[in-house]
Amino acid sequence: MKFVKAIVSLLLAVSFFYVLSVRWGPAPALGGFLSPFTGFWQNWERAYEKDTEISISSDSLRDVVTVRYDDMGVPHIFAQNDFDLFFAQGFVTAKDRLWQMDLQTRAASGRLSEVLGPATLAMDEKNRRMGMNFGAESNFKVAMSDKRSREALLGYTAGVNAYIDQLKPKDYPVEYKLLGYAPDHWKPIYTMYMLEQMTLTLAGRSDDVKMSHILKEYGQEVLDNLFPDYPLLQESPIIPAGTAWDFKRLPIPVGTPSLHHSDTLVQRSGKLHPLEPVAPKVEGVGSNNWAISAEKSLTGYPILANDPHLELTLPSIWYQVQLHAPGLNVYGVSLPGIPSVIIGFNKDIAWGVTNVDADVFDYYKIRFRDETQSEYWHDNQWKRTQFREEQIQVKDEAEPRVLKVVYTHHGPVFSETDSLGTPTYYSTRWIGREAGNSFQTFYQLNKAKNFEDYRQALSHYVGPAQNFIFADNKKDIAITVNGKFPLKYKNQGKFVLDGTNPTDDWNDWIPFEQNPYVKNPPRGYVSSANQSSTDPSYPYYINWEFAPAERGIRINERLDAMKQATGDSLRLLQTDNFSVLARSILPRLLDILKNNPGAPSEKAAANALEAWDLVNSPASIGAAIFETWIVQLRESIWEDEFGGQKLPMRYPSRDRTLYLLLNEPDASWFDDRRTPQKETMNDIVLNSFRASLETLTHAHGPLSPEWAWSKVKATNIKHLSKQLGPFDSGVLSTGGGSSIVNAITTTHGPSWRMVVELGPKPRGYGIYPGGQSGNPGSPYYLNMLDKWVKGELNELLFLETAEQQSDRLASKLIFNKK
Amino acid sequence: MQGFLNFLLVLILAGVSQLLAPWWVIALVPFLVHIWRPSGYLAAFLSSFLAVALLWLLYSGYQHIESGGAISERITQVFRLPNATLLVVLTGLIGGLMAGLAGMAGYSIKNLFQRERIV
Repeated sequence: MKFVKAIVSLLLAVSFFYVLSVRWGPAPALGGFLSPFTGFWQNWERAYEKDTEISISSDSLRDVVTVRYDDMGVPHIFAQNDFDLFFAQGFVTAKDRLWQMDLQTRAASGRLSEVLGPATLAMDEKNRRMGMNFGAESNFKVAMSDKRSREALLGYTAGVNAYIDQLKPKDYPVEYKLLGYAPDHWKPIYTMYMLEQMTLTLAGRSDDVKMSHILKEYGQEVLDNLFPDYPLLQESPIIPAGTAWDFKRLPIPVGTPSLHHSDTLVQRSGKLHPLEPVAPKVEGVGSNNWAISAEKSLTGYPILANDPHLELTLPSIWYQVQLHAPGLNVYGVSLPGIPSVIIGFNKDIAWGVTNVDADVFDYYKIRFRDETQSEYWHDNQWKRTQFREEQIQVKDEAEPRVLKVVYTHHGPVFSETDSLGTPTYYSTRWIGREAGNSFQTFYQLNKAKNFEDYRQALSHYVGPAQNFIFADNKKDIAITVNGKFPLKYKNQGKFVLDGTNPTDDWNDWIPFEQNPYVKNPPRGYVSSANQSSTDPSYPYYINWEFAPAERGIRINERLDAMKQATGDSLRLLQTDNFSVLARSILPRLLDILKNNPGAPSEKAAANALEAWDLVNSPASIGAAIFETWIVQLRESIWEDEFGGQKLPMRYPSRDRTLYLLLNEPDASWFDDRRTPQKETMNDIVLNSFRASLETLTHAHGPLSPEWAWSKVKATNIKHLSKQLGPFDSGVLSTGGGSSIVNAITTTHGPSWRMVVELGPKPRGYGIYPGGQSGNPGSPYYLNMLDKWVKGELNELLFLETAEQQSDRLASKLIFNKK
Repeated sequence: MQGFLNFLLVLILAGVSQLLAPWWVIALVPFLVHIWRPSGYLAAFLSSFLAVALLWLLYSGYQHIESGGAISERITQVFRLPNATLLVVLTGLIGGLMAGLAGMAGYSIKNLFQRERIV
């Protein structure tokens, strides 16, 4: 009997122990997770307290480093040399953002499956195939060969690892506890992965294949008509029209058209590497920046503003920091994982960036000799391909999965299979795999004192190409469309290129000095919002299409009118909700509605639009109807010709769509090819109007304040896991929109808003949606969110010495040499 | 009396060891204590259960209140529980149950080898 009891007791205990020790589906192992001694209960933090001091010693340090935290949780780092400075930056960034750094570098390098299992394998394979590792490795070699970037990378790495080494399992960020893995050591190359990830986000796609499909289906004339090389309706280019290009022009390469888009090269079957369905460019990844001259400002010095728009996530994308060392005192935002400040200001200058939509991702049609894919035809001879083996560790699998990626001299090869199962092979050339030292640009900008330093810093930059805006206290303002741009023939890369033809290669680069830029233009300001870099007079090809013009138009209109401006004037412009899009097209659409009155509910909606002030304010019902409608309208016009085709295509631009509506009311494109009757523009406008009202009614009930733009748009900032709803921001009451200066969409928006008044002493203001800490249990996780939603900025505390007194300073962290 | 002393022993030993060791010492400690100081099935279960349940309940409850629910409220939602108090109670119950079963198992094993001496 005792024996039975013993067995039963033991079995019970062991079974329950087992239940608590293993993961059940997505749920963490409950024993460790629930333990108040080691589990999630430990993951809360107190606010930094005044006059407290913590000391940490490390034998990697060369001298003492002092870190002072302010009331927003921003670290102000004072070091005696670069190594120690970046050590401390690595340490404090890891302290607030370790899991984010880990996840993002894992994602970029294709190592997610190592900790998350087969679920993320496809993602890992995709990033491996893109050659992210190839790019990171090439960039890393260059960075390590330069003393300054080497010092920064090694210091930063030592700092992150010093932080990781002093962690006990109970201190691990809560995401590690939920997902059931532990932090690994940081490696210097991880910084390069972060830069790769940025390049992928901002410059990692192109429509070449879709454009070739359109060309094949509709021919050159239709293509030229619907996909023009410069906006037809309206544009306000970044470099003001009329700016002189006073440089000695290089001969522009001449394309030798040899690829017939209608022909089908005979292909032999081989192993397929699927052409990943590249996510279309999201409108919302973009940014605004501008700087006004001393003449336009009340302060008598330039004022600069920047707000980069990205997918908004928690932990916040950016991390504020002040870095102080001999020859350096800079404040701004960094990207966790990258030493130095990316957007910010120092005593003398301020700078910011917006994305250039450069054509730096090209597809080349490849002809392999046979199914081994070991040789391809180029320049009238068979050339050997390279095989790169990517090993992907998968959680709970003994052997790594091996992925073989074929490279031509262009880059890795993908394939696409048509409806008959015939594969086409494409090699890709991408700026993300180009070796360079873009880090050097940011490092030098951190130290820059004037316009010359700024230009010098920019000359190192490779990509992702950015519009670098600049202002200094010597009263210079400037903007440079900057990046390493291949010197191409016009529209080289608008379509798929010929992989056998050497004239289609990237054979040369536009010299840095000839990248478009302007200094102190007569109009008294410089600005950018991802629109066309220049008007068509610029001699070189950068791209045939840029982001839509509305934000740029609005910014330039307001800056033209601005006088005696202060930092606050620029803040108000950052949060401007006026719709240039509606101003351009709504009168036309309302005319059609007026002549075709519909049911009472339609009339009510039309009245709401009629009464709308064209401002996308959070409470606006007109904005909600218009924004829903304009999306639906574009669908209704183009879907039958360009959507859901056997070979993927894309729609003409928004500018071209508006031009069609305003100037070509009789165009045959309005007819829906899928119906027997012939639709006119009016039919399409009215049908899409009804469809959008149905959509709104279905989701939000009949017309009421429930149709407020903020409710329809429902901005929600998600936790990086995309799985943990309670770690999200929840639905926010925001206005704006994708074509609006205040570019807040459902998922994207201003990830950092900064305004800097230059002067004898700079005054900086800034905010981002979230907080310094990535820990959902910290008081600094979402503490800046409310102010961001309201469009307010915090004054940024710019210290001159480590001992400086301020009411806003809280605790101190001292690093000692061991 | 034996039971109460065992309760105190588990409470103290499990409390101290958890500051250093992984969570599963809440099973190991009562298991060993009840091999060392046998009491009875029910007494072994109860003394272990109460000691660890109390530890986990009080410590998690303290952190919940002290942090203003900063992390516990969010985890409550992740587990779709109605409120954080329930999460505190569940934490105590689960820790207690593990300890109770382990204590009982410890006693039952000791009991197997004890036959001659005790009877």
